[in-house]
Amino acid sequence: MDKRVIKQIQLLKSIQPSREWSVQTRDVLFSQIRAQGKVGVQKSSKIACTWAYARSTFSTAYQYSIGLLFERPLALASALSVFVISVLGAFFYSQTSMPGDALYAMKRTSEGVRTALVSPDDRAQLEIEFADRRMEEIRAVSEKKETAPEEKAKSISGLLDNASENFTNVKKTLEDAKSVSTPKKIVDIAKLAQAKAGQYEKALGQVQSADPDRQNAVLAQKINTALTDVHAAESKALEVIVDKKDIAQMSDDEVKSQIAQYITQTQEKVEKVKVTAAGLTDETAKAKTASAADSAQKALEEAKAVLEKNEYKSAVAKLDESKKIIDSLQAQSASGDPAQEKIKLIY
Amino acid sequence: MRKIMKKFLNEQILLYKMRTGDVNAFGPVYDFYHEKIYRFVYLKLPTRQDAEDITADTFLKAWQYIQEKKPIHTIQAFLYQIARNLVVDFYRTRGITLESIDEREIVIADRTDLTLEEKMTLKSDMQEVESALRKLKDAYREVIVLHFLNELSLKEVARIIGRSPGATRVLLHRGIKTVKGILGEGR
Repeated sequence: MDKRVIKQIQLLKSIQPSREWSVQTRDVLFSQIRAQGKVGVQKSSKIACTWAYARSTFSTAYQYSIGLLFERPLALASALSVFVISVLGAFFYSQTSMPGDALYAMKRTSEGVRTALVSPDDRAQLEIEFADRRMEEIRAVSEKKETAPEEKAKSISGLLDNASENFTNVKKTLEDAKSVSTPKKIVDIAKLAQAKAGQYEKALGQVQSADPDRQNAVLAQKINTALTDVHAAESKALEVIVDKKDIAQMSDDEVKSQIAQYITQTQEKVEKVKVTAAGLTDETAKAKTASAADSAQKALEEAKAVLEKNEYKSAVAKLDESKKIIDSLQAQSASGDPAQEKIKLIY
Repeated sequence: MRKIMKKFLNEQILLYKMRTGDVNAFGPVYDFYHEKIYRFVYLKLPTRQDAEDITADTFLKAWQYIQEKKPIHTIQAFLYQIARNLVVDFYRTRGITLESIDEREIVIADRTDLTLEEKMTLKSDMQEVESALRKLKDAYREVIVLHFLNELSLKEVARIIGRSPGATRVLLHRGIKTVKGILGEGR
């Protein structure tokens, strides 16, 4: 074989995932696995999931049919087989369906069933799983070339509403720690929510990038609402981890470093707001944006100051305040008021 | 032979521990295989994010299958097979092809031994080879990645792709020949 070509190919051994992704994914993966526990498997194999669903839904009919089997066995068995196989098959394939597909309604229905049946311990993880699905569906709809832009925007708006609901439910679980069986579980949920928040923010930014000037006000507002909800869940997750750092097995230094990282990320956003303010032509919008940037900056400075004193909870509160100011500014810009000069999404 | 037996026994111990729900036993599996799985699916998928997603899903699915006590001969083959199936599902649900991708930046391992100019040259050479590999049939690309990049023996590759070692060797030769042709055309 040609050694020169092989040597060239072997250059690609350098292809690796980024270290940050590797570490983050490890954390998310292990949090998900731990959160699943030994009771039930969230994303169990499609066949096991399908069977559990079919059994719970059709258990009465199943028992009745077994009795009838002894009277008219062959006909009944054949009819039942066809019925059960077609229903199971439909359910099975519905799980990968996308908005607009014939089986999408079944997918959503099955999610409702799962939500109703899940234990409080597993509820948050299920919400995150569904949020993942919504983001995936948003991506699929965005990529469909044959769909008209207005129709795409409408579908995506609906999906964003659903995703917002999922994020809000995750936040509620983190707020209501008593609903979860152990502190360890709530910490696992918090870590998972933290890891996912970054991904969702990026994905929502990509959705907005298809309409950077926010021509579609409704969609821009929905994206903003979803982002605000993601940030709220993320902030709550950070609060939980700070509060339960011993259970999270984090040292003071690690907690401090994590908060500092969030402060740095938010500082980057504040800088973007300042640059945006400088570039606006409308004086009212300029003043408003600059004022928001100043307030957000002030909150961040306060966060840094209390962090130095190891007052972690206060630092998280100030950080949250800064993020809320930026989110609120974006929301106002997305409000659809023609007089309001649009500022591009800074995420 | 001793080395192979030791590796096999260690794997069986890990599998046993994982089947009993010992999450810590999964750590070494992730740590050892995640880069290899990533590299394997990276050249099969349109974007880096897709490769990241499929890699993460591979390990999640692997854990679930282990908990379901599905029979597993070797962890390596098991992971690659899950990754392959996920890639197939990926294209089935999206209806796009590998060719319909945008240019994307290769992420390379930290190479502190190289100057900036050398890194730029490396990236450029890598992009050329990557582009050539993406033009191959999936069967050729797969065996090349598994054998030359992930350093699996032909027997191990054969097990993963479900062919005989002889057929795998033929695929490898043809794949290299095709890559050579593509690289030659570009010059």
